[in-house]
Amino acid sequence: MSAKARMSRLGLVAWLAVAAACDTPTITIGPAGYSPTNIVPFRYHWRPGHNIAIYVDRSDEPSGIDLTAAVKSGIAAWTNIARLGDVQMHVVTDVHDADVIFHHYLSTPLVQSDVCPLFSTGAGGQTQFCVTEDSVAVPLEFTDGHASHVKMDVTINSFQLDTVSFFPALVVHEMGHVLGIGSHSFNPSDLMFGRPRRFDPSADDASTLRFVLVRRADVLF
Amino acid sequence: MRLLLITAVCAATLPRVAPAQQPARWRYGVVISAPTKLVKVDALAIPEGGTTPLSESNDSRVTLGLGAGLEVGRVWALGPRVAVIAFGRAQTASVTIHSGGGSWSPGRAFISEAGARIERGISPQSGLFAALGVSHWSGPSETAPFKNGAAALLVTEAGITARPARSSWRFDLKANLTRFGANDDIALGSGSAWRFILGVSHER
Repeated sequence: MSAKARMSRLGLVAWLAVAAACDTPTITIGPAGYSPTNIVPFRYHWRPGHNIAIYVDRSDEPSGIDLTAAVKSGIAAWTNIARLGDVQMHVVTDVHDADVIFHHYLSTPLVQSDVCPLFSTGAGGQTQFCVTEDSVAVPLEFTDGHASHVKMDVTINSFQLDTVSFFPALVVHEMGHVLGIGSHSFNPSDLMFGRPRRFDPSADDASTLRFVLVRRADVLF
Repeated sequence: MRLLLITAVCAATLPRVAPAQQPARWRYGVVISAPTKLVKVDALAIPEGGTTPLSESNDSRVTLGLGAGLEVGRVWALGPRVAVIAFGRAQTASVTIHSGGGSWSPGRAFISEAGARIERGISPQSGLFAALGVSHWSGPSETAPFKNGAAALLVTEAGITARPARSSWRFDLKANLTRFGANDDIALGSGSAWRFILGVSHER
């Protein structure tokens, strides 16, 4: 073999060695900012890749608040923290297309469940869903008896707020529960603190949701 | 009979033409690329009772599916067995995200590349090549590496080329390595994505 040919082969081997040493680009999903299961004792999230359809029921809406606008700002805030496109939500105008219903405390419920009856605690925000003992999420039914594919019902009670300016914070907080955070943070600077005072997810809220989404869920909606 | 003899003489003379006198040629063709991993996900968890995060195994990743595209090149012979080629390539492949125990496709990736390639014959029908270039990736903006991603990326490529005797068709097998820079906004560490590409091109 000539010296020139030997050099060519050496060059190719060197290139392959350098190339092999290069690692695939890696995204690091950090540990959860807080436990995602301190209220709901299992991990849950939506089917990976599912674009959650949200219906906003504005009937009996108290004056000075806009539930649709708050939901839309929540969609933007939570979508922004996703790294793998795993937070997808949109607003629908037909309740029959909905996976989740957001409504006011005073409005007449659109859904019910015979399996696990819905109830109202009167809390500022309340996200309800029905899961059987064998970890199956059961769709709720429309109050007229028709089947639906609504899996979650979210009640917002703005009368519990100290000031109406925190109304959007409450809505975006409940969206965190919808997405898979089955807990509250003990840190007042987090959106998922029991009485939210911010309007978008903190770094700990974001890392907690990412922690949930990247793993297999015990219950899949 | 005389005509055939003249043709044979011309053919025998062709390889002896000085490289500078050989006209540049066009090469154009199609490429397909094998499915590959584009981004891997390193999930961390704090073990019970501990404070230091540990890497937890999971199956999350972003992959590129089978890709297809077009390639065009301009070939200049530098010697009887060496050529330099300026090339451009456009390719598309579906993106799939695997996460949370499932997978879905948010859309397609579009990759355009341009570069220079040096090719050396190892026999009359085969050769080796190496290339350097830049590429631009675009794709579903909600996922890494496309989310807030950088545009121009460095590409290196090497491979083997084969041409059947007396044919203007050529078959290439390329190992392509695209370097992605770090993207702090989405906690993406730098790294390189491999693509193995099969090309069929025609030269004239």
